[in-house]
Amino acid sequence: MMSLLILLVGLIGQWLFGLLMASCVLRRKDQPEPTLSELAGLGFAWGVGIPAWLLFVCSFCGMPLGLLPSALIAGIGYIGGGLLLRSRWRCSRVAQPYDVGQASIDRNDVALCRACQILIACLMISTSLQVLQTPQKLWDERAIFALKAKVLFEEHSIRSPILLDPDFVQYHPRYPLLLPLAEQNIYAFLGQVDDRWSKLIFPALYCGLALSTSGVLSRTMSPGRAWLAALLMATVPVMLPYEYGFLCGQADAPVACFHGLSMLYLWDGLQRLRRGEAHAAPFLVAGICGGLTAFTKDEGIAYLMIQVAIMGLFTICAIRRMPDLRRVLTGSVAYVVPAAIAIVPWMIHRRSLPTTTEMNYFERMTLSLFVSRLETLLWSVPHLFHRMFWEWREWGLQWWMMVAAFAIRPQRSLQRSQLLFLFDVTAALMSLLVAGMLAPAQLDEHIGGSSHRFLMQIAPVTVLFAATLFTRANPPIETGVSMTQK
Amino acid sequence: MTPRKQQSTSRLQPTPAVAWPIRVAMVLLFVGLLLACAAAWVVPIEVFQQWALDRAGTGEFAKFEAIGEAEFSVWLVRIVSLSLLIVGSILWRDLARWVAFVNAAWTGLMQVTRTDDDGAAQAHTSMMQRLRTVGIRAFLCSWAVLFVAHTVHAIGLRIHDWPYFRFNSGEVVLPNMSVSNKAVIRYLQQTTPPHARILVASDQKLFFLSYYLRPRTLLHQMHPGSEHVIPLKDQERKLEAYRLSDLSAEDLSRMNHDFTLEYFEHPSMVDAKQVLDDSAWIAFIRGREQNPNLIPNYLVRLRPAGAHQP
Repeated sequence: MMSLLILLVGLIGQWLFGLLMASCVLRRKDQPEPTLSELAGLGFAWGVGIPAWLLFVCSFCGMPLGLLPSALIAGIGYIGGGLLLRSRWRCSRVAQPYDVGQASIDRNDVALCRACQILIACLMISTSLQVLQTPQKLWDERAIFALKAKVLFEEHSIRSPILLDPDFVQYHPRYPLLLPLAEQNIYAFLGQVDDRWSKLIFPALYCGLALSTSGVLSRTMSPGRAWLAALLMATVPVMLPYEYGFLCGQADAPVACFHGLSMLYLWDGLQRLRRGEAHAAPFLVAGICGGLTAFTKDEGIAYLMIQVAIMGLFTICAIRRMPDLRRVLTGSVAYVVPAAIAIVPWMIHRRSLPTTTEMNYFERMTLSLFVSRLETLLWSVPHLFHRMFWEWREWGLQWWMMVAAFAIRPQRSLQRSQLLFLFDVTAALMSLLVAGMLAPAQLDEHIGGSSHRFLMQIAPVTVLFAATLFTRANPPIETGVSMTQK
Repeated sequence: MTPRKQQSTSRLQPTPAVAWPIRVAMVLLFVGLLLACAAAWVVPIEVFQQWALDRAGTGEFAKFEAIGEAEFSVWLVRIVSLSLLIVGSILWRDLARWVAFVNAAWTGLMQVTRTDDDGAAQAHTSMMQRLRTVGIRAFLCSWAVLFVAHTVHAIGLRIHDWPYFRFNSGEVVLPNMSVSNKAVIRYLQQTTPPHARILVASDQKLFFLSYYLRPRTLLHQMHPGSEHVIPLKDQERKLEAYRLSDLSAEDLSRMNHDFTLEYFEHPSMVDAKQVLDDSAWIAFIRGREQNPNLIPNYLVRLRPAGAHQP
């Protein structure tokens, strides 16, 4: 019982740490305060991701893993995040939500907000209970992530000779360490290995995605719509309650969370650029989330490359308009630098890890292999469309929603900030097809057995595409649901 | 007037009386919940378990599942019905306000799902816009129905999971793996010290063994032919594997170990003459299966390091 109490205290501390980080990046003197839901959401996602990354860096530098570094992070969270939350709480007693400078928000919209908030809260509680009901039981969650988490907990180092041994029985030794370190973090607080409690990080990421969606979108649309979008995000069946989504310890749902957040903030940054505002903060958040995606699963590297390519394309398009170019360039740099800082230590460490059971896509990428495997597309393209549109009963209506949204607002769909989502989804689908061509495995088993999980990773992008199409034409930036505006 | 004042004055306005059909529906719901709650709390769980047992199928684990599922379902009904009664009582005290809240939320939903409300206010809406609005609402409705269906299915799965997991960790349950894998894990846990290094020659994917046997370290030289092959149930697919004799002295010295384990399941890899070699294993598996004459159809042979060399 005592260890559970320590775990709870530690996790709250790390959530506060995530909230503190989010506040440090997002708060600007010349800008309205970020909404509490945005800060809390990012706090959940970063409270899992950033401590894991910091633990990685500590261990990379030779500091042993264990209770001390985890408790230190939680301690900083309590001091910094606690003070921040206290100050916001005081402010919120002065100014009630939805009531300042928001003449356009009526009681119906507030009621809709509250209804969505109640439903999302119920979903979060139900997710946490469902997660705690079962231990880790799927293939990847045990063979890849939980096994490494156990070794890290027992050996106190990412440089453990066991993880570096090519003959040690582990699956995908080169997979990134965010989830193993986040699980190790839980074991450090708990003082023992229990693969039910380590699953608590997944509902936290689920909360993070839903709350941040409402927080960011409420800057550019009515709170009612923003919370409805958050509710849609929280109810994509493939992410929840499907067993391989946020209810399990696999990496696809966390990738969906971090990649979704990265796209959300990139969109937010581009929207602000469109309005002629130069703000690096959304791009910084997008970069950090992009880096965390790459630190969660190898697909994250592909997403990062896609996002960098899209930003590069936008920069090239802005080359003729000097003020625009400066802003886009600032945004691109603000995105790339934190993403690079997040993944460089991992990429260096990765080179020392064994390659057993790895698919080595980049090494296998040759023109002759591409040509010889072109016929795989005859199977994989129809398969993918079948999964996206025909199997909606199993995985949800998000792909149909994307198509419907495009049909309803075709012109707005082709604006730069919306093209971001379209390019990302298209490039991601193409990467999956290429992966199918390169993989040294039986195609129908490799792609057929994993395409639904891959599509889960980009499901938040489809929801964001549809939701962001219904922003106001010229939204005032102050329309967010603020807890602190005076 | 500031928006805040507007809000506070709207709160002061008298709330309209709640229509009698809503009150009647609430009363009926309340009575139904009260009966369900009383039945779930007063009737012993064993009664429900017996009822489920009588209707259980003939499968290997059907009775075991029926008893556990009945137990979980009863507790679920107890907790949910009680919670709903408490929530219902709170709602009843200020029913008019809550009805007004639901109405407002519904109106809010109708407002935000209109496609003609962005940009400048329009005097009239075109047929196309109305169709879009209806389309969006129908889509959201389908979305909600689909999610509810998935949630109901998920609750069913959690009920089904309960007999097997019962809030235990994976270490206790050893979930989602073959019976033979489980037996080998328990055998190695029993016969090797916690920090032993075990060299394994096997045609099995050993990831679960490696996971549950920690802090023991499992070492295995994987055959390149089976590196990216997914195993199928009941050895339907043969995985290429090195036998212990295939490993060179260099391999053995590189993989510094305390024990060697030979573990083969595919019929083509199992020599029937060797399956009884490890007397400790045979005693263990016969005790586990409660069958003193059992001859396993797969090979498990654990020896201290060096013992397999002539």
